Amino acid sequence: MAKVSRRTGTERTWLLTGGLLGLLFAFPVLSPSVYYVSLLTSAALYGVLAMSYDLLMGYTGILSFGHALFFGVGAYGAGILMRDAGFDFFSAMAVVLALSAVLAAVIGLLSLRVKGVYFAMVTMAFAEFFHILVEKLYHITGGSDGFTRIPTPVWLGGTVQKYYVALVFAIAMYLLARRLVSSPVGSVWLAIRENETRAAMLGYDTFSYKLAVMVISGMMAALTGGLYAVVVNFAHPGFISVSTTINLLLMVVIGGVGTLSGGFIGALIVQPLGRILSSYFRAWLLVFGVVYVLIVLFFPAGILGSVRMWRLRRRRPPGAPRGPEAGPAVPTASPAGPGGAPMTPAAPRATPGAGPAAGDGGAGGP
Amino acid sequence: MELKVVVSLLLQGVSLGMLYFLIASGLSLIFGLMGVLNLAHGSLFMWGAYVAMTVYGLTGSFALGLVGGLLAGAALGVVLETTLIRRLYGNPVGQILLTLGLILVLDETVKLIWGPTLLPYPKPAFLAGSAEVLGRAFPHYRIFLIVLGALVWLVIHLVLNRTKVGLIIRAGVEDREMVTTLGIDVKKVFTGVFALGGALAALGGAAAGPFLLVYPQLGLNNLFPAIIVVVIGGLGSFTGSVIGGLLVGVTQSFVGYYEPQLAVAVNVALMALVLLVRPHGLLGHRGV
Repeated sequence: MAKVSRRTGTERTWLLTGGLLGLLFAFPVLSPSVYYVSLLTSAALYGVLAMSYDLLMGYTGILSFGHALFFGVGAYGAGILMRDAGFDFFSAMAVVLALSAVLAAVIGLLSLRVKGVYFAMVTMAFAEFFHILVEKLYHITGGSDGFTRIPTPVWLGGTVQKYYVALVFAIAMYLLARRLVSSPVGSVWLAIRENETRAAMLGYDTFSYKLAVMVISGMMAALTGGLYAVVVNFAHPGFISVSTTINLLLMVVIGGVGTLSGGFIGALIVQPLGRILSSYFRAWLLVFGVVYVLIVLFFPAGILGSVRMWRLRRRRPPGAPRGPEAGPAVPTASPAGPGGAPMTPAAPRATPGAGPAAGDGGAGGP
Repeated sequence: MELKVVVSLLLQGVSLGMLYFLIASGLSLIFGLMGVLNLAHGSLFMWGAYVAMTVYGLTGSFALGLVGGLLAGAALGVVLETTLIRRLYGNPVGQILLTLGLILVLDETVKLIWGPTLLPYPKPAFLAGSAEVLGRAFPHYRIFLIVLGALVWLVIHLVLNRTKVGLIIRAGVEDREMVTTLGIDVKKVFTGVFALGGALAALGGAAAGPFLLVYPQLGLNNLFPAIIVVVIGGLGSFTGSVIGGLLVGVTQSFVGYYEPQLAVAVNVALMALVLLVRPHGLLGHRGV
């Protein structure tokens, strides 16, 4: 992976990151009401979920319609273990992690045999199957009423504690994901996204790498689901539904595919902003849909991706050749892409937390 | 199981299957020719139901309602194809993302125009009764659905197999580039197939309205069964969507008789099985 302009703007990036983190940690004090604190808590957790989806979609080019399954498994797993089986928080999370790893491996082994649209549908089928299962197993899961009264550990008692735990969790997960995508494994993921046949020809066992990213992102989603269920004391079959995955897709596309922190921006827009605006403005979802369609058509790199591309273009002296390291992923990762324009790998370290738009996402830069 | 129960469930399954076929066939044709998985297809289905209900309410004619729904679907198909989807040919992921957004736009527009609540769409008087089949009541409306589905299947089948347009479409599904090379304006064919797909979906919605009731989640709720049908039958295969529709309808009817909630799960399992054994569906081509 080419390393992009890590010299320029480094200081500004650090300042921005520091300021952003300071703002995020001070938020409960600054916020006019705890309502906004709890909104930001769920945005941080949804941001991690969207980021785990971005590992699949943005970094490896795998379009799954079943990612919500792992979120739901985490939520229900943690809920059932803690309420009905007497597990404490950490041992429940350990079990959830192991369980989701096995589940992701099994589903991956079966579904990665097919590609593209077919893969999307198989994963959707698996998720929908579990969705129905959870609704059907009423005596264990509470069915469509949801799974309630999940106990909260003492240290997670209040709204503010929950916020800080979610924030620290989001930062930790972000750093972990950042580490992963800049590792050699991450480069192979990018290679698969750009051209799987070529990666295979170079001698990489692409199936194993795809399985690995499914297991890792599945575990990350399950962990987030477990924490989310404990934070809201509640799990619902809707967590596993296709519409949850669709929401994740919206978050990642709006924030920026293949940027990691884009997921947080998307989560912030879809979650708290959406909830606040829709209470004032009935047509908000329609406006949101139109904006989303425009983003897909004209800014396929999303908010963060477009900002990064703009900054890179501005920084490069006029007439300089456009390097192969140009910008973040544009979701056209199809081998049959129009004109066969060379897809540019994301510049993973280019400008974490670029621009003010990258703000308030809970995404601290390395 | 008694024979009359079997026959009754079979008829019920066939009528449901015909409904699924109406939704799925357009989805399948569009995918076969253009490689576009139009996720907004369910929303076109719902638009058909809403427009048909409105026209029926205004004119008092059920047939005019069906025609109105069908035309609305065709018009929406043309508008979406020429203004938006055309920009993203050859970019499957972009198309999925785009049509996903169109679901939001189309469904929210429905909510703004007709409101978020369930609306009545009465059956016309001449279809409100029921016939007797082996001593069990079978609603006229289900018979109507079976007849309509069979009629649509026959018409489309003849168009695809006996006309020049049909020849071009079938050739386009097999090998799009070859058709272009032969000097045929594929752009127009694409728009036409999108109009046809939209019209089929909307007709399905118009006919299903009195049966499924009309509400803003109607589209999303029917997208999933449509996808199951198309995947089982084979993406791009018209006959496949008939077989897939009937298979899913009959399975749902029989399983639903014993365990209503299991019906969907069985169909999902069926789809997963087909995908794993024959990834391109029962009648699908490897090429598409």
